[in-house]
Amino acid sequence: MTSAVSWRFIVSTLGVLPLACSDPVTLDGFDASGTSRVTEQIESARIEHDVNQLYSSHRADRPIDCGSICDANPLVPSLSHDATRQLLRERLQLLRLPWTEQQLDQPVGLVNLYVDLPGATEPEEVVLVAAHYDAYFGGADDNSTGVAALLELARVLPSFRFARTVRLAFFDLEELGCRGATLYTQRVALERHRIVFVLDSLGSRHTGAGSQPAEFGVPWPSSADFLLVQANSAVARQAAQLELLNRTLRLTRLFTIVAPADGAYPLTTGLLNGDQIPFWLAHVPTVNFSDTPCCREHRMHTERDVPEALDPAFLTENTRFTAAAVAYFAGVLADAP
Amino acid sequence: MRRSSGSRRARVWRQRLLTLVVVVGALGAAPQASAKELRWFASSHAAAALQLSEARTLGGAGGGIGAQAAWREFALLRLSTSFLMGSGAVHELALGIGVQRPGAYCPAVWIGPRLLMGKGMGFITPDHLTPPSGPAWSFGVTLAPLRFQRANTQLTAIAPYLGLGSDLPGSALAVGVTLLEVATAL
Repeated sequence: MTSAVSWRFIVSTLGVLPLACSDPVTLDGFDASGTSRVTEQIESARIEHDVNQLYSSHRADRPIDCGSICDANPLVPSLSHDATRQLLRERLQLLRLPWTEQQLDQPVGLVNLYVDLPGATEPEEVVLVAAHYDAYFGGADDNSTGVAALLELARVLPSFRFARTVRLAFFDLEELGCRGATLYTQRVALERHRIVFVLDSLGSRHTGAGSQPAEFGVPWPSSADFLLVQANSAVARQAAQLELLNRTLRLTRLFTIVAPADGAYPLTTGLLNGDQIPFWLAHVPTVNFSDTPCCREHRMHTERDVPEALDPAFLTENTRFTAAAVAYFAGVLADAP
Repeated sequence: MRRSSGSRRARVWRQRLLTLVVVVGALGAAPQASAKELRWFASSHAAAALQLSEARTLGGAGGGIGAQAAWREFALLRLSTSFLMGSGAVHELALGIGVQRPGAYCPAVWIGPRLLMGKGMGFITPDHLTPPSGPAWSFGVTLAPLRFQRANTQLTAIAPYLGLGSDLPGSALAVGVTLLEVATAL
């Protein structure tokens, strides 16, 4: 052993210096041209149209029949999902994509829908992209933007072949405690889920200094122009790969938080805020993409969550980034025959 | 001529101040334990600590144990370990060298390094593609103004710590407080 190597061994063994002992993060097998072909198909006008359609659907819909759950939460009478669910079925039919439904009738009826794009070489491995389709009031940002992004992926991705199966899932009743995502984790074998992307509010952006409220212990930018990537230690390496992917393609601006373990600590419970929760608790590598709706302008879960408050360009950037992430982790091969 | 109410109030306050000085002086002159050059203490404590940097936030609240050597009731050498939970879960190791005031009222100050080892919230930054995973170290000063001892028992309350560290690259701010520490002479 050389003297330099023995010195590093001693210091790292003592743990006095925070030397990185893990392998450097790289984008193994990254196909830049293939990924670009995927992202270039994302169309801003289609996403914007879908957001408006989903928003109108929620505004016109009747509230869910929630029984005793309504008594505990005064917001619940403004929660809807029926009309949007029907809209999703019609859209998937138009796209000629067969889908699977998971249903639970009690205590509140819920239905998950998901579509599989079978992988070509490793079909047993799954890359899941999910968005919840229930919403309070019109739910423009939370979560018509996530659903619109997922619908755009449903339109674009079948034109390509991937090594692994890509599953696009529309979860129900996230707003009542991630019930749809929980049902999915209970009914589906999760061992071969390579990574899960949860899309929850993708369209709010403001560039002024101070537009992003400060949060103690979280050094995020002071301007509300980034996509928050919420990861945990089980998916830290993949989160770093997403950062590398974005630095390479320059699609959007990211800020990544890696929660310790499953995130269930007193000062990190704020990260347990969406459909990633049941996946983290099931130890499935999962990241949540979000524009921090709780903190930007405080429109979340109010009547002020309207399409006019969104930034369509930011939504498109985030949709393209999601598409690039899917292309990388699912392994884009070539255009479909 | 009658004395004014203002001078009466001033006399009352002088009396109160004199009483306080007498009490504090009495505490300082209280009989000590047998005069040993070196005394050892074992302690337990409740504490909170956080280390904040651009790459991670570590720490929380909890408690631990420690040992202390006091030479001639003046010089201090301290070692303590704690388990803290808040932003993840960490073990803290702290070493301190300092001085204290001899007597029943024995405020102290010490300096030294601290290590936080464990998991916290990490952030991806231009300098850290993956959050640092090794121990977070800092070097700083602890003030213990509320510190008392009688016979073989020592009590410390609200002793804040302030230190600086680094994630290499990047600096870190370490803050902490010993909420309550009880020490017993061995």
